[in-house]
Amino acid sequence: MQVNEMERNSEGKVVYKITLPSKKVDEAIERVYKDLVKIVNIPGFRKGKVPKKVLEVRVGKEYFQEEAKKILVEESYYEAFKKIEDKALSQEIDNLDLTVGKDFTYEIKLETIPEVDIKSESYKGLEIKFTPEAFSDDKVEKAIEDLRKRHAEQDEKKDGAIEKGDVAIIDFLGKVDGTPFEGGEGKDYSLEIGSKTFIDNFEDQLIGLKVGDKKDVKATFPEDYREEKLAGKEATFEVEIKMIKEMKLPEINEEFLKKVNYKTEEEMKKDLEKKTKEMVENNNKVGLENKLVDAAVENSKIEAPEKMVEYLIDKQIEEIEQNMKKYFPHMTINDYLKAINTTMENLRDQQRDKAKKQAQAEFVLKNIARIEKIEATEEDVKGHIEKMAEGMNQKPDKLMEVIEMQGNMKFVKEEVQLQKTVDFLK
Amino acid sequence: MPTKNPYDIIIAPLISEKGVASMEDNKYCFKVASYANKNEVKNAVETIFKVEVLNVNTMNFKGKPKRQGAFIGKRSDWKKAVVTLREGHKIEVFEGA
Repeated sequence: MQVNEMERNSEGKVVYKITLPSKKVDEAIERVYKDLVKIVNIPGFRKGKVPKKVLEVRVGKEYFQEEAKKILVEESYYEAFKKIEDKALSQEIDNLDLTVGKDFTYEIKLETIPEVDIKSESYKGLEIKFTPEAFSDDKVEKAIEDLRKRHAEQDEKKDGAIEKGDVAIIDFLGKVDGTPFEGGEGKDYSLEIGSKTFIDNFEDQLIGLKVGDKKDVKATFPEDYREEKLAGKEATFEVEIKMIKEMKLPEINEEFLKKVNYKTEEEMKKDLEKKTKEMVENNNKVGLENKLVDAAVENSKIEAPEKMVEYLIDKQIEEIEQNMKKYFPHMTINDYLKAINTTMENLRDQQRDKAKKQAQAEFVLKNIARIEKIEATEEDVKGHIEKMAEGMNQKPDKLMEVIEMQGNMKFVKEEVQLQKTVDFLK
Repeated sequence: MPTKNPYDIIIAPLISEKGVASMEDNKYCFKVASYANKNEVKNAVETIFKVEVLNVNTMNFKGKPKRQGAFIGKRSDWKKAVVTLREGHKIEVFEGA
């Protein structure tokens, strides 16, 4: 199989010509015949014994050729895409040319990220304000406590009032201006008091209540609440306390250490310190990078094409669907939409902002990479995969093989390229 | 009505497993009028397909008796002709078959 680039323009249109040897054509036609002969009934012949020549007259040579085209494209498409390094926003197959005895050719037309010139001032030597988060021992303490909390036992408190740190099982119905709102109702909800899961001082108002108590809790949504309609509004919740559970944090003793897979307390502290440090460092790195990219996007004053945004939305929807499939294998996307009471368009709209931001960043970075000739070398990719393998507890060689086999190498390469571009901005 | 018209004598090409297989030996099978003899078949094939015929074998087939409930019937009798052509001659019997 040959893949040749035929055309490439600055608007991102790329055309590849795929050529398959004539031997493959013959094979494909033979396969069409073999599949067909099993199912047709022609008078004068037993099933499966109809000669090819007879069939060709009966169903037409065109049928054979069309089917062969389908088979050949299906066979080679995936393979061809592995060889193509461009990221395709949309793809189209065109100009299929099949003649028996000749090579089969077709074209893959791709839309890729358009090339736009960005002035180097807009991304070189960016000055941004970013104060990195400092690492402190408090964070380690917090990590230890979180770990204890995760292994905490909950004891039912038959009598006695809610205290901070308890878990209350509650029924609640929230109303804004006298009408219930979406997501404002819950039954048997376990709420940790003091965890700040609920808005405002909702949790504090429950302190002191007993099992069976009912109370109207007033709370105000914050101004920057994610649901715009509710932001800044005051809501009234009818709350009923069903059960109170006391959290019993486990003591740090041998039993606990065994449960969390550490040998000594010293070891646990050290490990958590290391992890926390890493997390803070990582957060700082990502934070800085995000700011840099944002600044570059802002300065460059270019808009990512609508196609890219739509492509990313598609990707996100796909991801949602896959996640859903993991937990509810029998659900279709339509059931899911019904369950969360929305339509496909709404869901897409919800994803749009995120997609747009991502598209902008990618669009700008890609173009900077092209202008500055930043490319992912073999070693870069290797290094990246080694890191990935470490995180996944796998052997690098094996992971490499898997990526190669799934044809995801180009995505890894792209990731590395983008990362390199971000590093370049620093 | 028995006629000697070549198109009345040759009724249809016989496309069956055996018929198609024998084409490799340059033998072509036809369904022909029951009243036609070998000579008439030979002439008819030569005029219609513009080929040279070496030999003609014919055979009569009796129609099978068939019944549908109380009604007894019989399929028509017919005659098959296997026509051997001179080497190098060909008939594209499949055209429009």
